[in-house]
Amino acid sequence: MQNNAKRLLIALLLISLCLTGCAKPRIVDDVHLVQAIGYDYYKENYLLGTITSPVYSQSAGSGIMPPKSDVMSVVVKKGTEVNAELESESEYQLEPGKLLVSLYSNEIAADGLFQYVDLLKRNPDIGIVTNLAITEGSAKEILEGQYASDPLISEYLSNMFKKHATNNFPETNLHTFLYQYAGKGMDPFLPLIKKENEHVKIIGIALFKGDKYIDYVPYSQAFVFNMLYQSFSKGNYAVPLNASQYVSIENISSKVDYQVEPRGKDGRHPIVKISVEENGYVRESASVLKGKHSIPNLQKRLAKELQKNGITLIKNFKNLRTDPLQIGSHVRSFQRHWSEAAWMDYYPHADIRLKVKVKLKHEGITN
Amino acid sequence: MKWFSKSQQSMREKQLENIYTMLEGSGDYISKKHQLKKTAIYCSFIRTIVDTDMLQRDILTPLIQQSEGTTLEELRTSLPFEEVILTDDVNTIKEKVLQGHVLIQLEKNSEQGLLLDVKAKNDRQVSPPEVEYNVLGPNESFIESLDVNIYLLRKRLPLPNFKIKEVTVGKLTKTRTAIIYIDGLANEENVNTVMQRVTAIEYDQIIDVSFISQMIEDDHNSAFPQLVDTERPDRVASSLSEGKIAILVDGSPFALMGPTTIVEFFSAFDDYTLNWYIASAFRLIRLMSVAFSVLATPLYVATLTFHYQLIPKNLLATLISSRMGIPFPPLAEAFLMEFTIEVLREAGVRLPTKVGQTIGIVGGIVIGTASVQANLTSNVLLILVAMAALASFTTPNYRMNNTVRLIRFPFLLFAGLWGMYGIACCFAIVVAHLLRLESLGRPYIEPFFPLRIKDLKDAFFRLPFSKQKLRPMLLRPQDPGRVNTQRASKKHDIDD
Repeated sequence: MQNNAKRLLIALLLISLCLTGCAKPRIVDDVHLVQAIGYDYYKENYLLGTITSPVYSQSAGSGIMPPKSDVMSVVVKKGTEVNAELESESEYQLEPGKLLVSLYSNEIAADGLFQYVDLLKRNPDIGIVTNLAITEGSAKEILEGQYASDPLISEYLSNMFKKHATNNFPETNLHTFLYQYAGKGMDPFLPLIKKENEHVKIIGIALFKGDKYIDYVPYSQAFVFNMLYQSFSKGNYAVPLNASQYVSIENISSKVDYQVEPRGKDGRHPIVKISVEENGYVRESASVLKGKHSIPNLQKRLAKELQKNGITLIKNFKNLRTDPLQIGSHVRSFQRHWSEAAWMDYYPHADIRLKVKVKLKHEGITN
Repeated sequence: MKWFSKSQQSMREKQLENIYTMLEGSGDYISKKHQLKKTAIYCSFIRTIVDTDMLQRDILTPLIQQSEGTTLEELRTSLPFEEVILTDDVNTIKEKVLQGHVLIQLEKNSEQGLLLDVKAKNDRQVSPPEVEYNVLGPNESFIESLDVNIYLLRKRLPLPNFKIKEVTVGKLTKTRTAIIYIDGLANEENVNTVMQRVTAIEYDQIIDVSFISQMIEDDHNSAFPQLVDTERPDRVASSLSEGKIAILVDGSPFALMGPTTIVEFFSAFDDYTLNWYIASAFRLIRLMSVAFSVLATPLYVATLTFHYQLIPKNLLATLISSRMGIPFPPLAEAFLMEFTIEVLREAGVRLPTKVGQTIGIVGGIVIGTASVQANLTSNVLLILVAMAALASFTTPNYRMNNTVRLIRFPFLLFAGLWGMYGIACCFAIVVAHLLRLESLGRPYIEPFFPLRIKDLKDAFFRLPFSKQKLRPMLLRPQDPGRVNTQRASKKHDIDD
């Protein structure tokens, strides 16, 4: 009996070896890795899709030759996949599994991004931390460009986004976009980039209403945005001393706390109280910080400025009826019967208060 | 009944005749007459295995010069030997003469005789261990003589309950096999298991203890050794005092120990001579190198063949450019390299030491540079394969070492066919096998399954001796405590 079972098992194992044709091998040097993809409008209902993939050359004994960027573009009908159309031109199978960045032109984003993001979402090969970004102008132009710092635009952008996520900029990727898009009481945001000569520059935070791009926060206000959005560290911000002089502050920690009075004064409308605590130090200063510019004065000034800018930012968001700071979601966690429709009606004239406290721990070595 | 005893008598005479004719047939059998003061004796022995100096000095000289006895009984008392056998049993005579005894008789080829042990002692000296080398600690290893080996153990364990059970196995070799344990400490069930299995061995030759090991193991088809073999008497002594059972064989410089667990194969004696956390660190390094050695190349193959998504983006350039232009798929490439390493190792073992140096040069040049330059293999894989080979050699036990080296081939094959899924399948098979495996009826991966927290004190980590107050639960020792707890609690500092 046991013998028979064993024989059966061995037979099954041997048979299963014949099934191995089912798993399609994708040997890493025999595929074309699509690392960046860009979408532009071509004309009505047609898109211009651009992909880049790295072309590595053989290492000649010692060291690695820098890879080259292979850029391919194709005009496709809306809703079809760019990769599939480009198979006819590529030497190897195109594989999107190492997709690092996906770019969308501002025109495309303004018409709604979800149908494109959906393609990424559905493909199990594509990682959830793929970076998304909106381009001011053509995405193809950015992907085709030659850049001094990195021969591969995909790595250049991916490294740049990664670096920004550790200081002034909140983290954005496919996951955050989908979360913010699907979540209640919040709207997504993505970095907005632009090509400038030999570099790509982040010019701001693109704001969305639903999946439609509507406006952006300029890069200079990214610190303020991030300060309101999350607790973070290692951001930097410049405070003007006077018309020509600035003091650069680096923050050690920034803590944001949302408190909501669910019923408010009238018993119906909530009051949102945002309190921010900044701990920082002076990193760069043109003059000796004394008298009018002494540290206590500087703290007050910075607090005032951050508060003012923050309130302006929130006011703008209210006017745009977009909620990238997820204030709705914060209110929802304090209110029992929260409804999105009711909140969106109230949001443009919601009572949102901001209080910023600043503490500068040191100013470095001065004479 | 007279006819019966008569026929028995004639049968015995016939047997006797047979034996002496058989012995005389071999060229080194000597039977010589010596005249004593009052009687003559016949002295028979096999020249090649007898110490003839001793024979002349200690037996013949005193007999010829001094002895006045006329019977064997009288001669026996006059000889300064601790053991003199007076026998009329034909089989004993045959056995002892063949083992190096001298036979003294009054009549040539009669059935009665004195047997004296004058075996030549041509054993080699006790030397430092060569297989299980360690830096600190004792430097003795077993030799081919069972008596010397037992001496090495006995001097470490001067105990009245140090038990040696001797049995003879092997139809032709008649190998003396000793089963050693500490009575009152070792579990009797274990002792009975070993005794029963050893006595049940039915084979013509037992040349080495590894023959026994393969015959009494719980699963003969397992790739994993289920009994530890060691050449270190200190290690055996320490295991005996834990309650293990040792098997020694005459003619083999190794001892077998059981029951054991998989962890013991990865522990070296240095684990106990070094401070506990340093020892634990090295043991962890050893365990990690085993995991690395088994999984490194299969993971490389699986990742490069099926799961390119797993490669970090900064590693892509290194991997792809080193694989550029290589005509094989990763599986073939890895197999080729692993095969080359194994061939080199095997050749290195088999080659005489004087020629052995060539292996290093051939290996270094062939796989080091030429195969990379000829685009047959990638640099990255070469590093992985070399590291895996190196890591496999950290396993202190030679038999486990072989297992670790071979077990990666099925992993490699499955990784090449099914990717990560294949590795997982292979892993599941190995784990299932280990779960079922037993060593002398005790679970093989014991502290982990069944989970016994108390035995974890000497598994991944080797905790300090103060935490090792109990003997391993695996062995179910009759006396589980290592220390006298009353005395230990009384211990105090000198300034208290």
